Amino acid sequence: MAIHTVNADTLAVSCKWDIPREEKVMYRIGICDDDKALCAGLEEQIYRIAKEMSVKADVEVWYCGESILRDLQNGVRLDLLFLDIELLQQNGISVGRFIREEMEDLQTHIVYISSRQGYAMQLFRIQPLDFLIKPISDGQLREVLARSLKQRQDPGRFFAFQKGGSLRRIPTGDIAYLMSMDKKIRLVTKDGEEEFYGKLKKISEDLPEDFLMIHQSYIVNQRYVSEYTYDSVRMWDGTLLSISKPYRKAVRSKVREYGRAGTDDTL
Amino acid sequence: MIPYNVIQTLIINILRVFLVRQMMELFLSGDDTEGRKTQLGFLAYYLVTAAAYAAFGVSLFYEVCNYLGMAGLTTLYRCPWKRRLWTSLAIFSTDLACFLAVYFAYPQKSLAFGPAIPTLLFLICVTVISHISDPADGREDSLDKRQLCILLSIPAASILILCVLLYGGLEGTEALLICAATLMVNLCVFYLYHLMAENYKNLRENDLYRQQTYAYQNQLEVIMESQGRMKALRHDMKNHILALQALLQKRDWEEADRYLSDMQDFMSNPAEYVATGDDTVDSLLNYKLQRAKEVLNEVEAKISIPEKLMLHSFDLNVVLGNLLDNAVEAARQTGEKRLKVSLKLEKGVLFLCVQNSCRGIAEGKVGRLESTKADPSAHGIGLENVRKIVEKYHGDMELSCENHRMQVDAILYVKEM
Repeated sequence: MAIHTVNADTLAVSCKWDIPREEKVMYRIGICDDDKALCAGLEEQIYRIAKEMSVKADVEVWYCGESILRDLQNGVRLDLLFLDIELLQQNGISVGRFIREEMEDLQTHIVYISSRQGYAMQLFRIQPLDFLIKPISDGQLREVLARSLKQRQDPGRFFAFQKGGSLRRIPTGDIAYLMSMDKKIRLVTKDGEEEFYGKLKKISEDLPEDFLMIHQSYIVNQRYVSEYTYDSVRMWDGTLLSISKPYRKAVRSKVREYGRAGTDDTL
Repeated sequence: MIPYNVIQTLIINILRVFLVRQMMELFLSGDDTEGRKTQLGFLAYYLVTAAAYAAFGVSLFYEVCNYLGMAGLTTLYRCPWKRRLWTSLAIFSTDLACFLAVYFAYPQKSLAFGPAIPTLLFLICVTVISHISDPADGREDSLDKRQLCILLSIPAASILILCVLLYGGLEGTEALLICAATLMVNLCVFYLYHLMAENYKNLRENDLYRQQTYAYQNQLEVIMESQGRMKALRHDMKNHILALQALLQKRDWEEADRYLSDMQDFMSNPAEYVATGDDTVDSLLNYKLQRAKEVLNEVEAKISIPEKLMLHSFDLNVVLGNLLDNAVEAARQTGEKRLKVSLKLEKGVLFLCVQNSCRGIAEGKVGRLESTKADPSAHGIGLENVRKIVEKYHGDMELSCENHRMQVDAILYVKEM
């Protein structure tokens, strides 16, 4: 009986079916800028472009950092936020930092908007999707929206594994990294951990392209990486994982390609 | 039973081949992808020279074999033929001088000792030379004809002198002195080569710094121009406000809107493509893009990097400067004449992408591009330097070319966020 259970446990499979969900989900977009005219213009622009792209968008506007912080604390969630860097009291950096650090939210795409070029290093730590200079053209907006949508795609992909005789499923987007320890695999998600029996190498074949094998016993989701160096990655929660020598070359070119995929690559 | 001296010869030849290899790696950049081929080459060289030595001793035939072997070995390295020729001649003449010096010093005993003493002398020479020279990775020379002639003539003349010595019937102390002098001259030529390479590197660096100075100067002009525009606008602000007030009172919204966008156009400086706040990046990109704009139809730049990059400005200059120069040069030869540069920092990684239209070269991924520059000896030096910097930052680079689009895609790890 015991042997039978172990056999069932080693059966880790990844499934690619879509979960039934609404045909079109509202894309929640926020704008936070103290220039009311700009907000109105941008809101109108977003609605128009979203309609062109046949995306159902819901745009909400805040005129100061304090009000958006209050709403975020009260549970308002956004998919995409256009955030002015030069807000009056709570500036764009502190709002961004609040989202990333206090709320531990990596999912909200932040696009910084500013009337001048030149960005402080702190802004890059917030991992914005892009920086745009006012006035924002339709082309730029379309590109950013498309990129945001593309990165948020794939919500239907699940990772499934056997645990204690039952099949468990986790959205791949929630997995931060996987770590193998002896015969067990530790799966770390954004809000917890799981352990099950399996082979990391086999699992790596079934994971989407966000995932990167950096060591024979680590696979990381690049969305949860906060900083790369050539021999290690720092995860969003501060965990430092090393990239082992045989994987470095492959990791380098994957990081390059993954980062490139984020930008429009047409000449 | 194998005779004692044959075994001795075989063993000592191993040391000699090893020394030859060390010398070659000192002057020719090793290509680690072909490590196996190189090993086989040296093995073949070892066998041939050992056989020739066993059969003929120190003789013309052995030396011809030896030289051809060395010349063959240099082809295993990836560098211009000039440098190969020079390296093989210089190594060969040093080797020959060592042999003959010992041969003339101990005419009878040298046969009994076999090649042991000359090889030890060679070892001393190699040690001295390796102290003189830089490691090969810093090498990026392209010698002109005159320099090449000087460099080549010294080992070539030495070889001639040594051959004459061997067959000229001169013996004893005179011959030994001539050998020793030749050896000295040969050691000096290595030093000369080292100096030339150094000089070349300095010239290149100077060139780069000069460009940087131009770029800074250009940037200063750009900034002054921008400020001048602002000043001019401020000067006329009162008039603009009056004009706008008049338009608003007339409720002529369209005209007011047009007036405002005119003001904006007036403020923006067409020469200022990039304003990141990092002086090095700004000046270099504004300078290069301005030049590019003069010869190309479409120049696009998307830059999102912080005001301060953890990157040596010299390194960035090499990377961006070379890649942009190449791209502009390639795009200029096409009908479309397009260039696009993007630079972004994300998660401690600097992503760099330069795209341009190009005439069709090899499709797909390309390791090493054929240059269209007039001087073939300068081929690939720029790109090679870029590659070195990319390696220094543990980065990765890919060149690709398809559908008349060339693209260089690189990352550098700059961490320290």
